[in-house]
Amino acid sequence: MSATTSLFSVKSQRAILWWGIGLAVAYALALIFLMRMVPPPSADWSAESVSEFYRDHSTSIRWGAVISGWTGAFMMPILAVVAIQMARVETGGAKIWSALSLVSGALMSLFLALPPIFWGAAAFTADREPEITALAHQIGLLTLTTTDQYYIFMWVGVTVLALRPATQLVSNNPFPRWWGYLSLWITVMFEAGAFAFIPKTGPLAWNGLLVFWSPLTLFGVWITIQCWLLFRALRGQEDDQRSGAAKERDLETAFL
Amino acid sequence: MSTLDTNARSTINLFRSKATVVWVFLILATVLSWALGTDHGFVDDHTTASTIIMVVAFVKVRFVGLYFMELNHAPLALRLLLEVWCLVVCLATLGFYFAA
Amino acid sequence: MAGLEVDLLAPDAGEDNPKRRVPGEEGTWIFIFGDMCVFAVFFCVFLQARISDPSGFAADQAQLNQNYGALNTVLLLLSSFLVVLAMRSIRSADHHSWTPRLLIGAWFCGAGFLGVKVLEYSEKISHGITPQTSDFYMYYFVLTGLHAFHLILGLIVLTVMVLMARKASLSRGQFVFFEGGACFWHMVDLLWLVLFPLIFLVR
Repeated sequence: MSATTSLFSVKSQRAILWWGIGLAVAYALALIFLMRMVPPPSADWSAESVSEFYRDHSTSIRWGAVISGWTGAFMMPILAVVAIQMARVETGGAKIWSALSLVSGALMSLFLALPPIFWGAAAFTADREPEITALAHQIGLLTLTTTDQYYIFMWVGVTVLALRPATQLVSNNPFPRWWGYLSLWITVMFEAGAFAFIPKTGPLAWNGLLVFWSPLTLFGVWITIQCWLLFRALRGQEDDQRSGAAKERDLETAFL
Repeated sequence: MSTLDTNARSTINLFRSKATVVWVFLILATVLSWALGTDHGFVDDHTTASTIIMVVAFVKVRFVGLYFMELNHAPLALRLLLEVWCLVVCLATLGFYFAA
Repeated sequence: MAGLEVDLLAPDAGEDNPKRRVPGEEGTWIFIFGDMCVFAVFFCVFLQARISDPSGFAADQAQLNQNYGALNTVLLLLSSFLVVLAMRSIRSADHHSWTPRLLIGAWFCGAGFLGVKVLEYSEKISHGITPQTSDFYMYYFVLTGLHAFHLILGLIVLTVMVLMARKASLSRGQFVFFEGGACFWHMVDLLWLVLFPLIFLVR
């Protein structure tokens, strides 16, 4: 299997993964420190309070939107590597679960890139009618929190492949069985997101435990562990590649 | 006749385990909690009744973990995870309860 | 009897045997303890919300029907016990054929729980009580709803287990999944053992 991936491919995957991680860190910092959305303003703020928030922090929120504009699609490079590695272990026939994860990575990027645009728009002319600013603000936060459902395609794909016995036979596999269970659990935990349209306080509000804090934490945990598993697997694949190449050279010299 | 006997004996074997005793205890504990929680009057004080109900609940959880999930035969780390969960969550809920 | 196998698999056979083993796969325990910790946080969040308004919580709680909750506890305990028996029967050579029947029994107890839950919810909603009514009812619906969601997942797992139990014999991997599934079902029971007193009984 590893014979088909060259050293160039392995190194590219590592580089692209670091690219994604760099973008993710910048996005997170902008979200926390410039746009001040962690923790998000309470959902039962009045339009006036929201408007005041955007007037007070107009510059920092707009710069946050600028940085998010550069970095919002961080899940695309990460998921490209995840999907390539999934395709590597998805032996036999169509690589359907890998494809599902790849498109999920593209789709979730949309919902990570859009909210900063809405907040940036809210801050763009913050001295307008408060109701209008509040609407842009709400669209931003609801886009961020209620779109959790579009992430789960990726996790279902990872879960299926990690729990498939054939996957564990592939050497340097970045999807161990326990990872399948953890991904499945995170999938279940993400189901709460869409409820954010209903309440303004409590665990299902957009700043609540189930809708905001648990998805945010689990998303971070998932990316961190998956990247670590990927780096470990890539290291192993690279070693195989080197020793395989060395063996081939030995064979060639033996025949000469 | 003898096959019937064997069948009957083996059926009894199915039930002959600590899990059966634990289950009877769990049902009795549920009845006790229900009686305490619905003013069937043998403990007048709400706070005492509620404290008993909560402690009983976590004892029940521990028994389900040990005998139904079979954690009493699991490696120590896994068993400790259950014991610590029961203890910590019980103390935390009691703490929040008494803070009110 | 298949001595060696029973020795390895049956806990009672190994009671004087110091050999310890993880029931199910390690991964299932990530799932189970993950869920248990999330619920633990919720128990605390619920009680913390109660601090600001104990009398309001008590008044709302008085409107709940404790008998539904108690009935559901008994249903889940019975269901869990049937799964324990199913686990014992699949390990024994004599009772292998009992396993699917015991599991189906457990499945119907679980479905009965959901039936009672639907009855309970519809009674509340017909009285105009929704999650927006008060903090207490918000937590009531969220916590019992989250639990019911796990119960539905558990029913799916039980269905898979019934299909597996109908086979003549299980591979090692299938058996371990079977055990993990049983533990997940016990977790659904275990969480209700705390939720019921917390929401319905504790004043």
